Amino acid sequence: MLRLESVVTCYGKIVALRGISLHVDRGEIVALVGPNGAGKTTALNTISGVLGPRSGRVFLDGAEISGAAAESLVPRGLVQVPEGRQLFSTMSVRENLILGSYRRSRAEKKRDTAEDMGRVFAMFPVLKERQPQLAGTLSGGEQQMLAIGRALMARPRVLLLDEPSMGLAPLVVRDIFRAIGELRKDGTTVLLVEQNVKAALRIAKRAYVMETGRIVMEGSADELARNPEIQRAYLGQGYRQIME
Amino acid sequence: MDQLSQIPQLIVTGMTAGCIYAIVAVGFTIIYNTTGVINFAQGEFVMIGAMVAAVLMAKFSFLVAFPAAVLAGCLVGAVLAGFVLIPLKRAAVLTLIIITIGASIAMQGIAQFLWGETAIPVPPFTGIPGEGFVEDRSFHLLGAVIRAQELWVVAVTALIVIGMTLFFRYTLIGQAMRACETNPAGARLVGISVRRMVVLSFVMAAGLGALAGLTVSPVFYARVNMGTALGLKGFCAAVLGGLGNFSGGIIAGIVLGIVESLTGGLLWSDYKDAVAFVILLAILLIRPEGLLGRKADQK
Repeated sequence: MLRLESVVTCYGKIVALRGISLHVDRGEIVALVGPNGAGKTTALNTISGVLGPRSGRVFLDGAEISGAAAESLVPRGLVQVPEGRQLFSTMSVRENLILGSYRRSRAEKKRDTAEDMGRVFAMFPVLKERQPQLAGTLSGGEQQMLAIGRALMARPRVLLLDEPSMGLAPLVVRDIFRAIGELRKDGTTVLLVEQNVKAALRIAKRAYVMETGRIVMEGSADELARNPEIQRAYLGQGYRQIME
Repeated sequence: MDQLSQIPQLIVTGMTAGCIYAIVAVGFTIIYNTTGVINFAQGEFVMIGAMVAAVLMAKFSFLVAFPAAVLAGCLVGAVLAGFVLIPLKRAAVLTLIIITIGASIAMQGIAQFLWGETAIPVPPFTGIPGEGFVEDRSFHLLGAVIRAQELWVVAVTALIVIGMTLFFRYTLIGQAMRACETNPAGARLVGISVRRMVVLSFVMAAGLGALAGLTVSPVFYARVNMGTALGLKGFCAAVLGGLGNFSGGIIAGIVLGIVESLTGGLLWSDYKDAVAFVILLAILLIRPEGLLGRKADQK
């Protein structure tokens, strides 16, 4: 459904992606993990059209989308929940959600958002209570929920999630990951970038590990979770054995 | 005592001018709310509306002249948006603001070339048709003479205010325009074309400016250099009201018009035009976020 072929992305003279290839099949949750600065966010931004690739190609449903503008990919079903959430902080929770369905409302000439909003509220009940509140006044966890909710309002077929657990309390992280897990039931395809490798590998089917702009490992989530190198580097296990 | 008896009349005159400042402030707010840019060519939109209406009224009915004037304004707005957009990708907001100052000077120059410098009288909307020039109807109220055209100015202002408030609060496009200002990156990620919204904001602001111009021209005449002062005072009103805040800009505009008229009539008529800027400076020192503005939280 989503495929990258040796994609290279640069910031000026700095090469952030050194030719990565990956694919996400329909209905899959795929995790993209790795340390800070590995290029995970750059990869997502290149897919969503926020950045243009220097070389290589990106495909959605077999059609090339490399270099397409971010706003033109939303109606094609590719929606990103960006790093830092990028909410409309001076607008209400409700307005943020309504704008999530902007392209669909425009295309269908009506604002049939009630059903989608109901779905978002079922997933994150706290947003329902917060409807009139300004997005900027929400807690971090609620803002992340709103960012995901806003993306879901576009009825994405492929959802790109950038660090949904960043800076959040463990209980909130659990809620958010449970919601992401629920998306699988609706058949939404998810590419998840995470530093919380443990949680990511638990809900993902497959995963890619990135380091310094390259994919250094890939495989099923179970396989990677058992891999000693991954355990040592990201899962905080194996230290004892080494120390002893 | 003689001077005091002028007060009602001065308030009426100030109110009319204030309404125009208010509409210009609304224009500033629309563009600022979408792009974060202060458009210093806003006053020229008023001038274009007034001049096109004045020139066409000499030959055609207002049914032709008014829509043509508003359309001319919209068109110029779209062209200006093009100039702002071409460098938008790399340019800082300050650069764009300077572009609008340049555009303002250019527009005035072109207008002067096309229409000359003389002020053109414009017949009032609902005047008494007579020989030669159309006489406006007038009313007496509390010692002041109110011209029918002045009521039109107030009515048009009220309509614009209500219309814009509803537009930005309740329509999807209006919400999308606000989203562009709050967070352009976020706006693109929900599929809003920021470019299209920027063009739309310029077209709307220009159309409103032109509407203000054609409404006020029967009171103040149409002149190619009328835009500069209106633009600057509208800017004062927008800042006084707290940039980005419609009702604030409107109230500030009307208050500004009245204070200016009273100062001019009762104290020193020479310094009438300086009043707006003195108030602006004072407010910026005491309350930098404007009268009704929220604290600058995100910028």
